[in-house]
Amino acid sequence: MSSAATSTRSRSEPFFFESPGSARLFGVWRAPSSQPRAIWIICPPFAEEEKSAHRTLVELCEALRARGDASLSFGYRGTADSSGDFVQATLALWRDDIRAACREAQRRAPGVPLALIGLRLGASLAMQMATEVGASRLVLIEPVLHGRSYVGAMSQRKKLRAMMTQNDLAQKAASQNTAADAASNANGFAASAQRVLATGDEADMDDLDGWPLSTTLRGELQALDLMSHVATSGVRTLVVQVGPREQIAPPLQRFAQNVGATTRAVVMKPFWNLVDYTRADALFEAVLNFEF
Amino acid sequence: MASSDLKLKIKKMIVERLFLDVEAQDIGDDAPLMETYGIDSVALFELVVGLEDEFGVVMEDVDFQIDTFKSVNSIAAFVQEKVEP
Amino acid sequence: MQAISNITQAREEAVFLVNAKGEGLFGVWHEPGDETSRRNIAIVMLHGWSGTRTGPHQMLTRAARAFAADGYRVLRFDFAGRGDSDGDTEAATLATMADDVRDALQWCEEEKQVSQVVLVGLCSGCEVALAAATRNAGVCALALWSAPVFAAGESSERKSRKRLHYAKEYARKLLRPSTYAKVFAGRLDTKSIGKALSGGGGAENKNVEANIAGQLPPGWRSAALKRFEKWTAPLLLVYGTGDPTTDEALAWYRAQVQGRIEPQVHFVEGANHSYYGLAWEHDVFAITLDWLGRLTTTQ
Repeated sequence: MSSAATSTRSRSEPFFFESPGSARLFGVWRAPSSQPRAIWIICPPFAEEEKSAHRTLVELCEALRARGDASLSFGYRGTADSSGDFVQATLALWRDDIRAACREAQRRAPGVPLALIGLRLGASLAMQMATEVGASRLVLIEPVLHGRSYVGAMSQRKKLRAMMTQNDLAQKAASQNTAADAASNANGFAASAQRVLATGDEADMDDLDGWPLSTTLRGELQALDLMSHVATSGVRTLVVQVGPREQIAPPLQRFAQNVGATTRAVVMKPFWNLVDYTRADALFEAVLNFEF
Repeated sequence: MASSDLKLKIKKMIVERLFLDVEAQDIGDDAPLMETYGIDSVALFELVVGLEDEFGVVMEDVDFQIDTFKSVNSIAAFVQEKVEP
Repeated sequence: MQAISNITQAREEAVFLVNAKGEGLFGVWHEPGDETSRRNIAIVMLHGWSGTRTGPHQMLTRAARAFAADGYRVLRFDFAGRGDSDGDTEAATLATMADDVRDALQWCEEEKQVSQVVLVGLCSGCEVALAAATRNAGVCALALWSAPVFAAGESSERKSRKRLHYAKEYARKLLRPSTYAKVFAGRLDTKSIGKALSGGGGAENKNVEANIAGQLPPGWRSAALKRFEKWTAPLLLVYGTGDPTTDEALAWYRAQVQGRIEPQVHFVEGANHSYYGLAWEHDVFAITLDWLGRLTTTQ
């Protein structure tokens, strides 16, 4: 048994670092044994998508390290292990956190070129921050282009989950009890689900499958429109589509053209939505093989 | 759109979005989708996105009923109702 | 509703410990802010099968903060092959996870001078807790949230259907020219094929025993159950009434401890398996804090 200080096997290091407003962000620094060629800041996706995508992003960091690059993955304030409550989070604060992560990485490897990888909402934030933080490269995996549609999709997912749970309960009741009991149990669930499905008890907060979404954050998300972005000067950008098709979807293609990005399509399941882990070799290949 | 064409398009959407290892035409019109293909809320979400992207169907709150997703037939009926009210 | 996680920050430190196989495990240690009210029992939290130390909807982080605010020292960590930890994702099993618990408990003892621990598990983390409980003398109680039947095998019908599916899938792939190219290039994942054909490879097959990497060692389940027959310490079982697995799983756990102990059982009305709702999550924390409070006063 050994602690981080005594381990020589792994070059990974978990730590907390500061972000403005007294936030403490949890980060993991993964570095090759020699001087890194580049540092990649990993901008994670939103809420439950982060949980599903976590292992895949860690494996991507390991693939980057294997070819000689360092990475810093971290949690925005109010998420994962970082300090603060999700209900107080805002996109503006999360952009501060990306800035802080970039500063921390550059402190650890001074003079090494900085690059950003973002997934979903993390890609949208990375896009907004790339020029300001001086990134030379940018990889955007399935960026959220329209925040309003994204909020709508999260709401749909919540309703589907509730619908499935209600169905499970009704089936269980039907198999065990009389029809009257089954109806009663299903109604009992409906009342309970209503409590959770409804807007949170606090008027300024919505319960998004266990994530307290503030009206401020909801408003920021709904205002997000990546299509209004113009080319990011000097930042070489790759836009990656992940899904069932090899053809890039027209909106993503238009966005890529707007910002002067190259596109790649990776045919695989949207791993940020899945419960179980899925191998993402094709995604890693697309990212690692992209020559900037 | 003729009903059989609509059903085949729905089957292709299901196979593609859920990465199923079956031919679209092999899915029975009345086959119970949940049980046969182990569809969970994650998979259902992909189908909802597919219905929106490929059929222009916008789901309202009242549309979130398990019976809607029971089979290809029930999805086709739902799409027809939405697209041609 | 007041979010239970909206509490004064305790001290939290990043943890990196190395398991017996030399794999680095990542975690967070929570230390109560007020040392004078510190409890004599620590908590080690165990995440689910495909989860991480933060849990679904950040539930394990929020729980740890609630526990720390009530005076408990808490360790959350990723099993090998999960979250940020080292290790092959597809090689992790309930057995390797239980081994990681042993190593984490040793770390708690050596680094934090912890002698008594409550294991708090979520979903498959409960199965790991059961397996680890009787192998480690310091474990004094178990709190299990949505515990499934321990290492339950699949029905033979489902297993054979799945094997048929994978056999068909690989037969189809074997006929492709690209497969031969991969074979000659040495890029074919023969381990995964072996696992799939033996019924393994996914969460549904996590309880299959076979002499294959990524599967439980033969006899592991029965040996763990045999040890659990000696368990006489407190046991808390929390289930959502909207979870279709609740009845079968609860009956199974009651049967395991019948005649030895009376488990504390609490239901969260309407909740689904992973308590995807703030009110449900709040109830789980409140129930567990109440149970822990009575536990510590009786030590």
